[in-house]
Amino acid sequence: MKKRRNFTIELFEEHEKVNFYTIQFENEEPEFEKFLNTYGTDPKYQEDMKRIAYWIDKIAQSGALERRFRTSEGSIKDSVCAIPIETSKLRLYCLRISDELLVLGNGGIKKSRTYNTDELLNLCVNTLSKLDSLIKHKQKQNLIVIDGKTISGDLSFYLTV
Amino acid sequence: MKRNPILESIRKNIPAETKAEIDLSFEIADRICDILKKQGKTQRELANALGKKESEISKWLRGTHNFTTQTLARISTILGEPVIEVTGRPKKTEKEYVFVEILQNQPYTISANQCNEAEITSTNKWKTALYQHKKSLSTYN
Repeated sequence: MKKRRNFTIELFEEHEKVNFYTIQFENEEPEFEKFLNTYGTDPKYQEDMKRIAYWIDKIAQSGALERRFRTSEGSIKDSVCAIPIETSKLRLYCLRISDELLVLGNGGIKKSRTYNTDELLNLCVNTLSKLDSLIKHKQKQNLIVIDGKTISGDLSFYLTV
Repeated sequence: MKRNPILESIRKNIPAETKAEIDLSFEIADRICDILKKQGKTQRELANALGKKESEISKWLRGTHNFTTQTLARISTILGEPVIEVTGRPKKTEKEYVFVEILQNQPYTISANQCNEAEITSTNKWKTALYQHKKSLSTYN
């Protein structure tokens, strides 16, 4: 039986050129915090986490330009991408809404060639992909407004899994 | 400006060399992009000229690629402009290279007219040039 999971998108950090948002499922910690708490404390991934943190700082200063991301992660239709850490198999997935607005999701270790054979990574990518289509849909109905670095309006969504 | 405490604690421990590496990668990627834009070239054209796939060029332009000097030299040659420059050493012009080569062959017996440099005609200019040459040799050695 399919289960409904409610979630919102919440402001995670504000910077000069980019605002970072993250997904938060009902009664759970924010998705990007789950990622930070899982890999930020694991000695094996300390180096990767420092690289990701500094990469976020660089993006915050220069903008979330499309070319900065690994874009072949979701489907062709969506804007799901991964932070390009070439030194490891650790993947952090995100939704690039514009050069000024990025939704940071969750991620994990990519053990196979494609993300969709891994349950967690598949869920991470599919959640962001679904969010992408829901935002576009709500934008068309004027329920969501994207203005520069800010996204406002009805930021509540749900998934059935 | 809102900041997350967990991410802030990771930020505090980023080594200077990691920052320097990522800064440099970003700068190289931006430089390649700027040259392509200035020359009106596409990533595909650069890929074709280098015999690479376009996806490889996309990877380079993300700003996290660890370039080899060979790759940088190939890109510079194809684009006809340096992608990176080594600073801290004076860059010699072609004329200076010729002059230094003559000096290195006959450092103390050469006369100004043998040098075949129109600018170096007076004794004072010659002495200055020789002094600078010796100084540069001692610096490099």
